[in-house]
Amino acid sequence: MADCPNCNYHLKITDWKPNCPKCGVNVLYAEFEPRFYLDAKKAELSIASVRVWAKQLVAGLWGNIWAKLRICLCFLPAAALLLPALTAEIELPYGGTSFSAGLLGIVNIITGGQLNFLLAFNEFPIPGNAVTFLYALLGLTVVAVLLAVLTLFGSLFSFTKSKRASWTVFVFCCLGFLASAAAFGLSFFTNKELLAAPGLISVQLQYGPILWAAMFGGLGFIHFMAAHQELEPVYKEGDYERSRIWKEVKTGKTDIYSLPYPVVETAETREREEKINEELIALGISPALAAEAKAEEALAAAGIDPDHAEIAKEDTDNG
Amino acid sequence: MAEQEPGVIKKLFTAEDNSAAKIDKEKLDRHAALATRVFHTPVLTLKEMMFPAVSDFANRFISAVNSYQKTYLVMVFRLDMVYVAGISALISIWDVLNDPLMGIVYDRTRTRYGKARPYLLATPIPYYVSLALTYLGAIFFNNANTSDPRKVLYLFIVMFLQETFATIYNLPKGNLPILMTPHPNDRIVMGLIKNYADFIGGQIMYATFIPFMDLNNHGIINIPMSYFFAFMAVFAATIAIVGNIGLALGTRERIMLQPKPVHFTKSMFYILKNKYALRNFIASFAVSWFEKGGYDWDVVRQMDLFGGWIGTTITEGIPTMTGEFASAALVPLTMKIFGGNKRNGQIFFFSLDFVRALAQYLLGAAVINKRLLFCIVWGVLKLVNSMDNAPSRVIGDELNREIADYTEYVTGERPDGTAGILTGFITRLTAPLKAIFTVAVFKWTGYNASLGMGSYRQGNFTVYKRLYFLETFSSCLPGLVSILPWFFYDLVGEKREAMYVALNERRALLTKEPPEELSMIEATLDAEL
Repeated sequence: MADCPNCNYHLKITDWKPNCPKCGVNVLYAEFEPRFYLDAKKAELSIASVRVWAKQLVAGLWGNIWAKLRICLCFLPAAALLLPALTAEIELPYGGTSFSAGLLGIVNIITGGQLNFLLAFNEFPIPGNAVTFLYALLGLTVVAVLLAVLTLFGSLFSFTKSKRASWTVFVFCCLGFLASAAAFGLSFFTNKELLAAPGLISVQLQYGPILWAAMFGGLGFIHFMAAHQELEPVYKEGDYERSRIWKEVKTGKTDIYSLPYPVVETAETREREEKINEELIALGISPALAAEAKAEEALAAAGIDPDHAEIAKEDTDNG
Repeated sequence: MAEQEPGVIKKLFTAEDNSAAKIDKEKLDRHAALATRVFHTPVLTLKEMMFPAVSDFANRFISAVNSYQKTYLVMVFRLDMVYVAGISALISIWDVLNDPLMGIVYDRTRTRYGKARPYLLATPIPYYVSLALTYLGAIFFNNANTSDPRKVLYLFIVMFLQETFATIYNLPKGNLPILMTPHPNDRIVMGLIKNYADFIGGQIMYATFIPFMDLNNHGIINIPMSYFFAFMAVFAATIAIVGNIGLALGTRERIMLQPKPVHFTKSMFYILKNKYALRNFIASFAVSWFEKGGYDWDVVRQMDLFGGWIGTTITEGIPTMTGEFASAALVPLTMKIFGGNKRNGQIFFFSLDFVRALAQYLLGAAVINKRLLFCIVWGVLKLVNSMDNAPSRVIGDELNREIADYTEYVTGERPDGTAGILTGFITRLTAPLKAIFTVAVFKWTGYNASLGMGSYRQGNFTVYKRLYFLETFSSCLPGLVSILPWFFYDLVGEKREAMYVALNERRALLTKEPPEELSMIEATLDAEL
């Protein structure tokens, strides 16, 4: 609910007419100038705030060579996991299946119904530790896939808190590297053990973990460098100050009425003032009148109706 | 010697006495400082600019659902086409009657909340609820009787309510962004954001709607169409209600209107005082009989020449989306080149479109029987076409706003509701001629609608070449007439600046020296004397 700017009568929702029911003044007209300056200040501060956020976003995504590289190459570990560590084909009297220890293999195992078959593998009469090594290899592959996905999304969203995100993704990459190295070693043992299984399984080693490790290592290095580099967004003149003031206005620390207009003076605002002065001179407005107008503007910017300030001053002068 | 009263003809075409064009310059210049500052100062926050965009986004959902209304009514609601056509005709008659009424009421509206906002608060719920009810009908009346009198009555009632509230809603909704700010740059940025929100809303709907219908038609998914349409309509209506009420509550009108609106019998002739609007109207009236055959030739092209929705998505959807988003990056460059003289921009973009459309027709017609080549030609030139969408829209919208502001400059009034009464009535006079032309064009194409739509279903490439001509290049011919007034548009540079200064001075004068308060003071002085 609003108050009449002239007599402070509390206007109800049902007072829909433009004129105040008590004093008859047109409410829209009376509050036009103070509201104009209030809106102008809010627009100046809020749009600067959005520009600052946009600059930080762009800097986080694209601010230096390492930021560019981490965005462009974030998909590499996931792409590398397309090459499996190992492919195997199982032939049984009542049926068989094939699977691979890689990204596509894991997806197929989960969605293609092979999971139960593989879990039942434990009961087959396979000598040695083949099954244990196979389960361990598949487990490491799942870990590598999860870390690749986390790395991908972490890299894409690293513009939000750039350094912290980079350190987090660096940790993921280190874990991914370790998982890949372990998978590489384990793939040899699994291959050896499975080959020993009599005529049941045919296995082929694919050396995928070498590529996985290389990609995790490379991306980890990029994130390590990005975490050490300062990102320096280049803000438009005055925007950072405006953004800070806007935060204070929103939290109530600063009263927007106490701020001048323009809130922060810059080359752009000075250019605008010059253009306004030139137009006023072209209209034949004298410098004295322009100065008087400027004083009225300052009052209006402070939320005081200049016409009322004039009347109050006259009353004071007349005692 | 007393001044002679101007004649009736001169009164019709010259500026009003209380307008910015006629008020004593000394009186206006008292508020020059405030007026100049208002013209050069942005006042919209990004949050306030987003409200019209969210509303447009939501409305696009609704219009995407509504584009299938006839299909729904005949195939899902299962009502005979005769009843559908009859009800549509009756509703159209009601539309012709209520549009001017709403225009008159709207122009007389003056509240402390503004001119447009009260309507936007009151109408979204009844409008979108009645719209959703249209698509819930198939659930309420689940029978195969295409002549069920209950269905006929139900449809008539919901469409009547829908049309009534649509009229009350649409005019203020279209007008509100103009009333939100006098700063040209604010209007341009807000217009751009709105356009993109509208575009994205449409693309999301089409990306879900068409594939879903296709999958349902092929039996891959099995959801009854009545439930699908009901869900889409209720979902779209909910978003639209929230978006539009948010628009009413989250925005403010800053254009100060004169307190006493003029009578509609006066304002409906105000177009005669605005030479730019008058010229544009005469040009568009001169070609208002033109019609491209009254059929959805783009759907024929998509189904027959592209081979279905997959081909359409690749050949048309992707280039359009790419071009649209890329065109936003061209807006700053466009404003740099044409900002001081938007008329030149308007002529430039028309010329570009003319050449592109001609190339599209000639190249496309030459390879119309070779699907792959035809798709490539279409896709490339569609991309080129989309690249200038944002800049040409920005220029075109701002020019239209300038012309509307010129009306306020010469009349003191913003007759957004009644300005179209006279021109709308005159344009309707060409409706019979338009109908005859439509039938003649359709016959000329040789298109056989009974063959249905499918890959090269017509079996005759001459037919497809004619349809292609109608779709691509034919609109450029009346466009050559419509562009003529812009060569005489001189509201550019200093003249435009001077108009805006005077206009803002008058608005400032209204706020500082309101006529009703002045007349109250004069009445008090008279009484004392």
